[in-house]
Amino acid sequence: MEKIKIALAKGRLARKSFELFNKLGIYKHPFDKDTRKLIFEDDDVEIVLVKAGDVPTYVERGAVDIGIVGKDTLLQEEADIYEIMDLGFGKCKMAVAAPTGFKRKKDKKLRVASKYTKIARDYYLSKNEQVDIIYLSGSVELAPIVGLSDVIVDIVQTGTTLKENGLEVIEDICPISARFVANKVSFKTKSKKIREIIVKLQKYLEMEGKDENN
Amino acid sequence: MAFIPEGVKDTLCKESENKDKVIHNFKKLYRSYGYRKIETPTFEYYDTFCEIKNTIDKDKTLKIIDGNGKILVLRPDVTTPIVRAVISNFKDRKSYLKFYYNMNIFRKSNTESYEKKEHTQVGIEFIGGNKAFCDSEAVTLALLSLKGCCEENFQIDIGQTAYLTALLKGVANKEKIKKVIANKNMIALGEILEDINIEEKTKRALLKVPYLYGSMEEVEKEAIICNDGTRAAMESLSGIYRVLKLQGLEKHVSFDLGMMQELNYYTGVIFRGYAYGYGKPVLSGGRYGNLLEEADDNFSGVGFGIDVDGLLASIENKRSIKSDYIVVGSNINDVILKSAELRSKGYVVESLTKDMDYSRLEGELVDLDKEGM
Repeated sequence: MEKIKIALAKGRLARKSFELFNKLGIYKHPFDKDTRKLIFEDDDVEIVLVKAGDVPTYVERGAVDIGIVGKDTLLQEEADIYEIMDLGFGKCKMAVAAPTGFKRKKDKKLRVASKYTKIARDYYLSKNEQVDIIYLSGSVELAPIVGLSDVIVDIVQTGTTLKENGLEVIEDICPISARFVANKVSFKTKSKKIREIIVKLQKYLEMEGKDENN
Repeated sequence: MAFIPEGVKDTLCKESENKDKVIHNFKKLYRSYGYRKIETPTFEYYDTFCEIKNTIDKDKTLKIIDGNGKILVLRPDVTTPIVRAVISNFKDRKSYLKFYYNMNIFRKSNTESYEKKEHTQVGIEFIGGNKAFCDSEAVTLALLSLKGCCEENFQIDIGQTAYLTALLKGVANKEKIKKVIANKNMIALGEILEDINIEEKTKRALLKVPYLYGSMEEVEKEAIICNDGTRAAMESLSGIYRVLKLQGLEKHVSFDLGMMQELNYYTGVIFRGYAYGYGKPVLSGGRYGNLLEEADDNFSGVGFGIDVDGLLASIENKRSIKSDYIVVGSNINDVILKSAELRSKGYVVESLTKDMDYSRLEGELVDLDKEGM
C-alpha cells in the first residue's frame, strides 16, 4: 500500500515530532538526533527533513502528504493547504521588539526589520500604519542596534536573545506553535490513513491537556 | 538563442500527441451526450470580467492595451466568455444550452513568476434546465472523463455551497468563517466562533463542518440538519449520489460539506477531480448563478473544466506514434507513388531521399533501389 509521506521542519520541531511518532506508533525506528540523514522510512511512512520555510511548498505540491511546521512559517508562506491542528509544542510568540526605552518618532515612517516580511506587513496593515519593511535573512536583532531599523518583528521564546542585545518586546503579534498540515488532494485520496494519524495525535493531545490541568 | 517567456513551453511530439488523444476522447464523450462545441476569442475586454461575476483574481490576468487604449485580457477563464457569448448570440434562449470546449486559458501566479501561465482546459457548460438533473449529468461526465484516462486511480470530491450558506444565515464574519472551514483550520474556526454572537446550535453545527467529509454514509450520518436550507443541500447531494450509484460510478466519489470555492460565484453543487499522485485538482466545477447584476435565473448553469496538462502529468505516458514503413529511393517519383500506395492501406509512412539520414528511424525499411522497382 502507498506510504504516507511526511515533511518535518528541521531542528527542534523534527526532534519533538519523531518523539511523538515513536510514542504513538506512527513511525517505528528511534531517531538519532546527530544523524545527517534526511529521509527516514518504515513500512507505513516516509519522513523527510526539510528547511522550515520549505515545508509548505513540499505539502502544497503534493511531494509529501503531511507536514509539521511552525505557525510562523505558515503565516509567512501562505500555502494552499489544510491546517488541521495545533500540536501544542514549539510554543513561542511573534512580537515587535525594540531597543529598551524606544520612543516612536511621530513624523518619520517606522522602519521594521524582519525575516517575516509578510507577517510584519499584515500586522501593520491591520493597524492602518504605513511602515518601511526591511527584509533580513537572520540575526535580525542587530538591525535596530546599528540603526538599520527602528524595530524588529521576530519570534520570541524566552526573550533571552532580545535581552542580551538590549531589546525588549513592545507589542505581541500572535502566539506561535507547531501545526499539522496536509496536502488538500492527499487528504481526500489517502483519507483513511491520514485520519488514523490525526486521531492518534488528537487523543494524545487530549491526554496531555488533562495532565496539564491536574 | 531563441528563448521563450517565463510560464510557457513548447509541447513536442509524444507529449503533444498524447494530449491530442486525451482531448479527442473527452470531446467524443461530450458529443455523445449531445453537447455542442463552442470557441471564444483568445482576448476579451477586461471590463467583461468586471460585469460578469467570476472567480478571477484580476491581478493574475495577463493584460494587453489595444490600439484605442482599451484594456484587453488574455482569456483567464472559460465560463465567463461563454456566458458573454450566450448573452450576445442566444438572445431568445428559452430552453437549455449544452456546450463543450477546448481552449487555452491564461493566468499568472502572484508568487512564482516561472509557474505555468498558459493552461489547456477542456470541459462542459450546461446552462438552464432542471438544476438537480443537470448537476447529476455534469458530475457523471466529470467521472467518465477521468475514468477514461486514469482507469481506477482517480476520485471526485463533491460539496454543496448551499449547506454552509444555510448555516451562516444571519451570522457575522461569513467570509472569514467560510475560509477557515475550507482550509480545515479547526483551531481558527473555534477562535472566530468564540468571538461572535451566535446561537449555540448553529455554533455546534459549524464546528462540525470541517469534519463532514468522506463517504455518503459518513457525511449523511454526521451532518447536522437544522433548517430547510441544510436539508435541501443534503438532498441535493444524496440525489446526485443516487444517480451515480445507478450507473455504477459511486466507487470513485467522496463528499465534503466544508468545500468552498472563491467568492460567491458558485451557488450550488461544487466538485473537484483528483488523479492519484498529483498534488493539485485536475478537474474543477460546480453550479453558478446570479452572474449578472440583474437576478437572471436563465443564467444558472453547471459545468467543469479539466486541466489537461496537469492530468497528463499524472498518468503514464503511452507509446508515441511509430512509423510503419520508411520508403527511400533514388527515383523520387517512385518513392512518392510507393508511399502513397502504402498510406492508402492505412500505414504510417515516411518518405525520404537517399541523402537523408534514416539509420535511426523505427519502421520497416523499403529501399526501392534494392527491390528492383
